[in-house]
Amino acid sequence: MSPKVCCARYTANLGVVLLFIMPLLTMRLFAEEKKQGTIELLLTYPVRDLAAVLAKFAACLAVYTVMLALTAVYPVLLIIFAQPEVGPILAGYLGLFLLGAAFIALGALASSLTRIRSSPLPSALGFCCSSGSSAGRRNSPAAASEGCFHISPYWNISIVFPRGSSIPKM
Amino acid sequence: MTCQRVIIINRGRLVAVDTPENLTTKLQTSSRLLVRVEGPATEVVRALGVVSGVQTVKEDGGGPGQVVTCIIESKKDRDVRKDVAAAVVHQNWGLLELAAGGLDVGGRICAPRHRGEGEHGMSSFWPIFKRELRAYFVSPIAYVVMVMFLTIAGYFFYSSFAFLISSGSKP
Repeated sequence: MSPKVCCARYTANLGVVLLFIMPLLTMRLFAEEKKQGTIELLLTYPVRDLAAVLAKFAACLAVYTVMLALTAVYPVLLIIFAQPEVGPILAGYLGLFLLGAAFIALGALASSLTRIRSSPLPSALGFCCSSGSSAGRRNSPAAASEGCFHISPYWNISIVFPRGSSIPKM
Repeated sequence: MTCQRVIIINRGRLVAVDTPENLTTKLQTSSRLLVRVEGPATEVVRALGVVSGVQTVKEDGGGPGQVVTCIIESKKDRDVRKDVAAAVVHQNWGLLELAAGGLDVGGRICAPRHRGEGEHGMSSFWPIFKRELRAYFVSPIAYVVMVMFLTIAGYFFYSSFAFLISSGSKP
């Protein structure tokens, strides 16, 4: 196992963790407002719907970016104590950022569909990880799982970015 | 009286604050009367239409038997009630009810505007952004999620590179 594979493995694992963590952040976006009845207030402000939705998305993305920036401590440690290739690490982090943004968008969608605060959790998980099922059946020839695989944000982004092109079987 | 003050908000903008009476007098361009008459419908409408001061007469459904309900609009400062009553009685119809009719204030103040008109556009992005961000950090949710994520990331960092450490090669 080469060092490059180690970096890729690290970012890929973080991608999987995101799958379960992001819904915790996004579930409150709209569901809580609906529960508290403040969604009416927000929508009667002279505010465009687009601005309200984008602001919520951006706020969640900001929290996520801070979170991701804090994990950069590990690559920095690596750079201090060794001489890793910086390119794959940066690409990995770009991938994690985009993956997180996709998860936030899907989580916000799930949150807007329901009124109960915690119920977006499973549905957001479902949206984000059509990968869960497709991962298991990755090698199966079934067209259904193939299609599932292609629309899954998890696999599309995580394959291109954090895993890099150099990743064979681990 | 239950309601002493009416506030009308249209698309986030205050369009009117006043007592109901003031609002009605301010906004009325015509006064409306509701009349219920016992008599033949078409003739009642025709007879009420020719009363002086009356602008329009609208039939608003009948009632049991030969009862007609009409909404009469007249000029704002002209009280036509006496004339209407006289006209009905003159024809020997029964005047069942004569009352000030409903008001159509909402339509006048809150004229439907184009969606997007009068809205702040994207300048309202930052206030909402700040509010959402604050919401994350006044509740424990952001801290909990961050700590969880950092802990798990730490574990995976270790486990990903542990192999290299044990095999003695340098990344």
